[in-house]
Amino acid sequence: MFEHAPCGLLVTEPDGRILTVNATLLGMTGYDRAALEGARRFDELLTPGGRIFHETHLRPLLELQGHLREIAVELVRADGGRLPALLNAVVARDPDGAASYVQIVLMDATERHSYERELVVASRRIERLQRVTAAFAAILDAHGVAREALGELVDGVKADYGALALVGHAFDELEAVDVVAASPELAGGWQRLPLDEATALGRALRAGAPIFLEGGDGREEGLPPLARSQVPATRLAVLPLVVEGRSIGVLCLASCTQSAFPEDERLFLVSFARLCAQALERGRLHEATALAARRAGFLSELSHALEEAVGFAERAQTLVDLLVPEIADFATVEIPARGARPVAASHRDPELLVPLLDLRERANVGADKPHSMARARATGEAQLLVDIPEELYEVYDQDEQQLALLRRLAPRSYVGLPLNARGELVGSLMLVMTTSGRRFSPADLQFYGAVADRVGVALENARLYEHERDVAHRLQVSLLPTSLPEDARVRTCARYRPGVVAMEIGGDWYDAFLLPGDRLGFVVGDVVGHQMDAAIVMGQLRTALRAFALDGAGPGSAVARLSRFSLSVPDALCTTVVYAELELATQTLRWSSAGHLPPIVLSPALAPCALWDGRTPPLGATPDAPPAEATVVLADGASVVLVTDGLIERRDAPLDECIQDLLARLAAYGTTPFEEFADDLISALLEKTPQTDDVCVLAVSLQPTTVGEVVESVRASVVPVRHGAAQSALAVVTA
Amino acid sequence: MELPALTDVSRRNNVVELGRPDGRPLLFAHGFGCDQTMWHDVAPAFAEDFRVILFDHVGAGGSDLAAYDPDRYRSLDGYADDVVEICRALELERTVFVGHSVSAMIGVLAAVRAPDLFAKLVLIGPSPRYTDDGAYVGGFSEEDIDGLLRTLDDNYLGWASSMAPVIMGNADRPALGQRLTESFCRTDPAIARDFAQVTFRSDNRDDLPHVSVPTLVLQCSDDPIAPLAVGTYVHEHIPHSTLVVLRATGHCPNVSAPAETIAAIRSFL
Repeated sequence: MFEHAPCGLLVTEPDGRILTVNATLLGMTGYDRAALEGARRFDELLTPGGRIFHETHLRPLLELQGHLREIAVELVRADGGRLPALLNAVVARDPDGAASYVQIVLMDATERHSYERELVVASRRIERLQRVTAAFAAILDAHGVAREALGELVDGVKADYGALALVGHAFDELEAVDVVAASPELAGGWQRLPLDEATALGRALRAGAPIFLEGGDGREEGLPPLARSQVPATRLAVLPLVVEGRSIGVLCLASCTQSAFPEDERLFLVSFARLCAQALERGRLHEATALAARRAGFLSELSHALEEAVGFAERAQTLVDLLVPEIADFATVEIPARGARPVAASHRDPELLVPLLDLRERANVGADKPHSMARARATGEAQLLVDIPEELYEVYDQDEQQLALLRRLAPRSYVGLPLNARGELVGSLMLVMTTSGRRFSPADLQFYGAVADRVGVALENARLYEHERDVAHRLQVSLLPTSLPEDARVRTCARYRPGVVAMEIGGDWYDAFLLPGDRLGFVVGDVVGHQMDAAIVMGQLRTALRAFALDGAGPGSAVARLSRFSLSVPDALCTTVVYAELELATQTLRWSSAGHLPPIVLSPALAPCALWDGRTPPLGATPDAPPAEATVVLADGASVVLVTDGLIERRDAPLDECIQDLLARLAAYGTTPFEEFADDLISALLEKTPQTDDVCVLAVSLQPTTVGEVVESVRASVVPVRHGAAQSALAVVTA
Repeated sequence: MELPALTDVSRRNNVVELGRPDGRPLLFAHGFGCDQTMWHDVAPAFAEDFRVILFDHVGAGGSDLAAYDPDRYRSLDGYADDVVEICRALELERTVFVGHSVSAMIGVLAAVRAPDLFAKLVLIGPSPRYTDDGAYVGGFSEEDIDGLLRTLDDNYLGWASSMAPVIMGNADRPALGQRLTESFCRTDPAIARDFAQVTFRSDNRDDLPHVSVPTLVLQCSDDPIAPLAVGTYVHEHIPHSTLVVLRATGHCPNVSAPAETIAAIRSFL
């Protein structure tokens, strides 16, 4: 039983000298009995490393503990071969406790040993993959993934050459992300590689399955860049990077010294490639998300920037300034209806703008040419040229000098977008990439379309705004006199400042006109309020008064009729007005004031005074009341000044005081002609309090003439009508 | 560098004292393989006359594994520093250092570093360099050391079950029962591997001539790890040294022949 036990058995002295062995052990070790029994120590059957272990660990343990269990040892056979075995031992002692002999059991552990080796190898592989996974988790861009992956190939797998490349957007070529070569003799960097099914590369990518080429000259059918190398690759692995069943790129490695891929290395590389693919995809998604967020932010910014009410040209320029350099190196807006030259343009290098615009103007390329802006406008379809080939330059211009300029400006990628407004194609937006290295791609067309939509709408709104502003302007202008009547005997001067900054007119008005009977009629009125609604009322009242005045029945009658008329005009209630007629031959002034500030007379020899006669309540208040009118004869050189309360009224002072203040100020100017101090007076009065109401002043001044002498041809050649509006200066000159 | 507190050192190196607190200090340092339990049959013999101090190197036995710093223990100098710190923390004077196996060299380094601490050195089975180098015979080749490391790796899998026996009381050796713990001969596998590397790739031949204290070299007959030629080399290169060849065989006479070892040490003191 001992001899042929299913395990090797030995009995040794305490110091290891072998006493007895069984036949199984002889079979395991290949020794014959005489070579072992009494001839060797047990530890001589171990490898040198095992002997150290035995001496430093096993013998002390055995001595102190008395037994050993399941120790892995490697026996050296008689023929030099190695046999992995498991060892159990126990010390037998004599009655005194001293060790008398040692019993050792050895079991063949070859299978177990290889299994354990595999476990160790597998666990190391898993550790490596875990480490790589952790490294990849922190990386979000393709270049970072490439660096990490190629680093692992070179350090971990001991590759002499590694490359990571991605399939280009057109799916027919590979673009290298990173390439490392351990020595310069190996093929260096490369940029783009067309994919060819005939090569290992093409096949691997198509099938999505790795290819391992062993023990050969890798130049023949491996990686085309390696074909150029001076040192042959003895092994080559092509690992497609697969995401959701489709190859997005490839990881290649080659070695010049090793010529095989052992099984566990293949397993590692396949898992590794999977991790790389996932990391790249994660990076791509992250980038895409970030890009989408950036673009959404950009579109939002675009919309915000276009909220201000501005004119067409200004808006077009704002737009292109926003687009460059964020999404293009060069951008133009072209509206054929406004000319051949772009309406607005922007370039990341402002110095190049003018030459480019000149070029653009010259390049009259019709819609028949593919990719042209004209085609974009004609078809309503975006025109995209991912890469502008140099040959295309000649389509645009044959002139040598211009071509040279074009090459210097280096347009590389281009998209032409139609601009739509209210369902019509009105123009185009051109975006060009030059030297920044960026390119437009088909995947981006949706975004650029969104940009073009916003641009189209924004420009249309600007155009409408401009149109409306134009209409508003012209309407406003029509409501006030554009010229004042001329006569050698009087000089007329008016100042008008609307209360609302954005408007050109308000509720106040003035007017002056010649009447039959050699009379000058002049009026100042004030509709309640000072905005658009008041202006609308004002227009109607002004016209009506003129009509009534022309009947020739005098101011009292005209004002009374105006009062009755005002009942039919919505919101005209409580309008105040003062209307006067000056008989030029007799210098007789007749006037009527409906609730308005009295006319003020400035005479050369007298203090300024207010004419308080001839008053009725404001318009519409007492429509059936009898008309009121008063008369006075003016001295030579006198002036009559009509004002609205916006000029003098203050919240903290009663009206009487304000009027007195005005009279005092007027007195201070003495005999200075009104038009010379009008602006000063108004500024002084408005200085303390900001203007909130309309301000209107009309002055009629008798010119000095000697009776009998007719002062000829000293006509007031310019009667300036200055409307001091804050936003626009309406200067009208009458000849 | 600041000396760690006594309690820190004690904990780090699992320092154990027995014998006379006022006695002359006798510091035992275990070698490659196990821990202070290796001195189980030798150290107590000196308790009556000496202050006996035992400790574990960091990574072995009951030492604080968290204190293991790969940089510090990249060479034997780190372990020598630990020995010096133990001596200073315990305020030992005129210490007799007894080092087995690689601890013999650790003691040499400590004595060269701080000669004031030690009065005598006892080196059991020393080797200043284990691998052959030209004319120098260390006894092993690089491949042999690689093989050792592989064996250590292989036995990592089986370590837990065999190397850390639960000692409930050994019927054959009753005195052992309470002393041995689960940590006996159990070293953290990664640290064990590092220690093996450091030990078996060390070369301290140049440090030998700098030892200035009397030294006893105990050489076993037929020691497969530190053969006679190596022991002789050590004796020849340490001034004031004595070489004694024991009858005991193997590398661990402190375990296999404790009586002879005790006697040899005693006659040196």
